[in-house]
Amino acid sequence: MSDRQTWDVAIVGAGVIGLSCAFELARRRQRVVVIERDQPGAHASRIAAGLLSTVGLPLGEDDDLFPLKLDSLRRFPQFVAKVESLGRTSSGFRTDGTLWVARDSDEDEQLDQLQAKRSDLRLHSRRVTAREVASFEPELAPGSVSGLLIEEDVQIDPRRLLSTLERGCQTVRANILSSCEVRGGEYDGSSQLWTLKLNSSVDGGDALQARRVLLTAGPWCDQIADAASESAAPLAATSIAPVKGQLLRMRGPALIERVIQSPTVALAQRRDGELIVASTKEPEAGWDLTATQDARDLLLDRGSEQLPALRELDLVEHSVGLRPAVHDHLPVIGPAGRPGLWIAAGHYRHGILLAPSTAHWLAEAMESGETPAILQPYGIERLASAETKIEVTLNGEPAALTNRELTEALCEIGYDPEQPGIAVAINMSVVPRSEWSQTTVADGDHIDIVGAKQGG
Amino acid sequence: MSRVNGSLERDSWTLAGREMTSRIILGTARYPSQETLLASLEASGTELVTVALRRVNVGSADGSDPTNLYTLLTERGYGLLPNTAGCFTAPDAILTAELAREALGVSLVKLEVIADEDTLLPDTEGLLEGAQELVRRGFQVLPYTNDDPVTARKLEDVGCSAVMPLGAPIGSGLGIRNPHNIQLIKERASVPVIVDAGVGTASDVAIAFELGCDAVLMNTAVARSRDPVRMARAMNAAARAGRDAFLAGRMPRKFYADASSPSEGMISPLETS
Repeated sequence: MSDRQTWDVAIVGAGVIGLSCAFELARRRQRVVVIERDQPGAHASRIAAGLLSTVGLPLGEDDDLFPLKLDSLRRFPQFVAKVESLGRTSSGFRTDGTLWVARDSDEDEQLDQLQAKRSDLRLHSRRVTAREVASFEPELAPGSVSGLLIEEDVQIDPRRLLSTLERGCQTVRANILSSCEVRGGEYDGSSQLWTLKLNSSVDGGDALQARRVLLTAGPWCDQIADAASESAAPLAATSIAPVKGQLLRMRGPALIERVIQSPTVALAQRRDGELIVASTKEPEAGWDLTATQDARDLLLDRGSEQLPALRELDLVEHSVGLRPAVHDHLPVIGPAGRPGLWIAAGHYRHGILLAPSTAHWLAEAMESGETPAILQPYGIERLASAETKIEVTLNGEPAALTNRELTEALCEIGYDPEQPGIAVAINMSVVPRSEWSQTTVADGDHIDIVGAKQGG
Repeated sequence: MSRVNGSLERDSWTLAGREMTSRIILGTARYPSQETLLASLEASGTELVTVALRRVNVGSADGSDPTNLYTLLTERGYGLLPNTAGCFTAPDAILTAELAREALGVSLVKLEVIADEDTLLPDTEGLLEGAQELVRRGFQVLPYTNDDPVTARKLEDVGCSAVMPLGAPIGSGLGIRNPHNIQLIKERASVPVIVDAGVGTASDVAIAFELGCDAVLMNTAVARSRDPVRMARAMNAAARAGRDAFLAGRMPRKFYADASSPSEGMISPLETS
């Protein structure tokens, strides 16, 4: 065991988040290994459209994510430059902006609202006339009502970014283990090291040791946590679920410069001629990865409503991926509730956009040991509080509690445990005050809290 | 047997090891306001007050602090006597008593096991069962009982610290309906006898004490009078009056009049010879 290398950080999952974190941490002279069950960028990251925008439609959908999105969008050019210089390839970064197109009065109104919202957030955008829409993008179908031009929006080709990142990781000596699966994990409190058991041989053994483990496996984080919990204290459950998405990759002559957005479809064309028609959102489909005819027809219909020439392009790929989503659609970034365990996952529709900020701030948090303010809304604690509430009957009424320990549960309900004059019964049995701190409340418990009332 | 004035003032009694001067135990329910409650307690001279144990909610619509009454009463030095009002079975009453001991830190309990909602009369079997168990658990049990000397004796036998026969049903204000039974209970009891429930006005209280009872527990008679504070004062005076009358020893009842004024030395009409 002693001759084996000890890593500073073992990253589980080589999607855009895992690779970005690996790149950033290795650049900061951490010894990093990335463990990938398949191939780097094999899943949602390589399916993503790569449209980077801070605020779009529908309004209000990602409001809590806005600060991080803005931060990341602003970091993107420098991030790309850094990765490209070390990865020595291009990422397909394109800064022609987004043109939102309205085709009826309802959509026209939505663009008004979008502009108003952006201006509230001090983000620039410009309402344009139907004539301007036609002159900016002549291939668009005639008959638009108006448009909204967002010049700061950019697009990137996620597949190019992934391969550039992979090369960048190699340059900064972050080690990527492909086709390598985590089978179990154990944390040793005395050496403060994680041992990850793997399915394939590494350094002549089937395990590796790391001071920190960072989960970046999207919707598979829970599976990894389950695998690891056989041998040791369970890793935190993340409740990151897959949200199926389908999109089309077409190829042909250049038709559009800007990203074309409407409330029903998004179109983006790379400089190499690849044109993306995005996308479906099918949360009820679970882990299903079937490319459906219905989705293809829907995307082609909606796409050609905006861009009739679309139908003449070759359909190169009908992509299906699983976006990793928490119920509140916010990512989980930071310590994961066990010593040395970290997580950066659940970026849902924004993994590409949020990669630079996630990598930067996660590395900052690991270095300083403190959670930067910008990451505060994305802590794993909020999942514990939302997911593991216990349902009890409190004074005859249904109630949900976050805290299981009775003293804390009382505080949560609003009782001051120091105050005299109250008594607590759980399931009709009195819990003496002296035992409150050692008592836990369970699902389905009947809790009664009584005190003196006027009586004869 | 003659007493000096000083000993009149030092008439105390002991309930479950607690020595008290006031013989009124006052309930805290049904007063028009908290202010009136506190003024009435003061005017009655009581040292021990009853409270109920109920679910308390913070942030409830009335904004009441669950510990408010507890603090209000204990800060003013009143002893607390929690009741088990509203309990229809011994197990319910036992749980309530346990909660009361936990919440209020007192092992004294007014044990009520009610038979039905209309009369609020005690359920004798449940009462005896509850009393026995609570005594076993170290409570000082004050049972609210029928004015039945047999039940009272049984309650004393299982270890109750007092017996509390009703004068009339709770909240009825009918006064002491069976003075003879109350007297019998008192004659045969070696623990304090407290008339609990039924008094309607000051004279009822005086009668209870004239019958020899050690204390009277009341609530509605004060709280639902037109002027509770004044009625509390009247009850205080009546308690003293009745107790003094009892201690003084009433004169025997006579069928015919017995003139109080001496017949000797009267000025007689001039006798003519």
